[in-house]
Amino acid sequence: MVENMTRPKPQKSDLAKLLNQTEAQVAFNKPWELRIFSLAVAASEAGLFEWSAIQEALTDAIRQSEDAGVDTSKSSPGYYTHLMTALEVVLVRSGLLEAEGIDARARDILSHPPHKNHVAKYEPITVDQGAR
Amino acid sequence: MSKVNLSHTPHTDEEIAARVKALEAVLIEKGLMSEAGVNRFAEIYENEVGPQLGSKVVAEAWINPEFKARLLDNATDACRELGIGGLQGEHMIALENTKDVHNVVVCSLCSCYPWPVLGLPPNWYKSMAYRARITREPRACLKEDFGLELPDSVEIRVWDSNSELRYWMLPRRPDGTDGMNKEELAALVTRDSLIGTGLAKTPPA
Repeated sequence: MVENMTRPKPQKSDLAKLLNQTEAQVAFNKPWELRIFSLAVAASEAGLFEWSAIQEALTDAIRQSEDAGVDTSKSSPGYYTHLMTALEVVLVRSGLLEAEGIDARARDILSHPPHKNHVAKYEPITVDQGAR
Repeated sequence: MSKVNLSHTPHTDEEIAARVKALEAVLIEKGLMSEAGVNRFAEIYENEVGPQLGSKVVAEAWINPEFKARLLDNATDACRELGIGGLQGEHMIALENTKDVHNVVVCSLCSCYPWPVLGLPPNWYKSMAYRARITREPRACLKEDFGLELPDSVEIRVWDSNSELRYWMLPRRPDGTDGMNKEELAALVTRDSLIGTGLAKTPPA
């Protein structure tokens, strides 16, 4: 018993911890992740840029973030954020987009949440009484 | 290459989602692409492509030695025979896992993956933890992280996929599968066995 208590437990690696998380076993966790990915593929297929340009910018974004230090036991939460950065970088570089325009548009979307003016109503909004 | 400064870095999930919407809206308004185009790819990558396609290819190779030879010679062309191909599958190499050599794939820099046969990679495949450990100590990684203990006599080879060239594995056909049909065999092929971090399932006795 004493031996068991003193023997250090084998340390689980960061990867082993990660593999136990459900979210690590899927490709997308949030709707916007699938959307940014599909947007990048569609833009490439529409001929706006070569996919390799995205890959290069993505690799740069990942490297910068990892050089800055990340918690490797977490499921790379920034992956699709990096992809978004990569897409923006490629589009701005090729002159198809101004970063400021996106900033303004994103602020606009944030200040008008879709349901802000659509409050819950507990009565019918239209009634056609019919002929009685 | 010119340095691009993005003036705003979104942080919360809500901010990121709004920025994705903004990007899409601006590209569509400029007439550079259509919403239908984005919807089509979202549908394909959410529902249509996945490891079930790679499993079909493997089952065919297990049953048909001539197809297997063609697959190992040129995976892209062999997959096309089965109607499987597309983006990020332009140049694929399938490697055979045997009792002597076990192959496993990583993309050491980002997330390169053969979409037509495997769909989109799981999050762990893209993690720094996987990319670092499978590269540095594959035997320990397979054993401790994936629970795949290979005999010491087995050579382990780690392959690095990139944007031009994507690897995936032809797992060993499990024992006790003689006489099984293609559908039954395909059901034994797992995503991890195609990556090389696992083996094909053995059929229930």
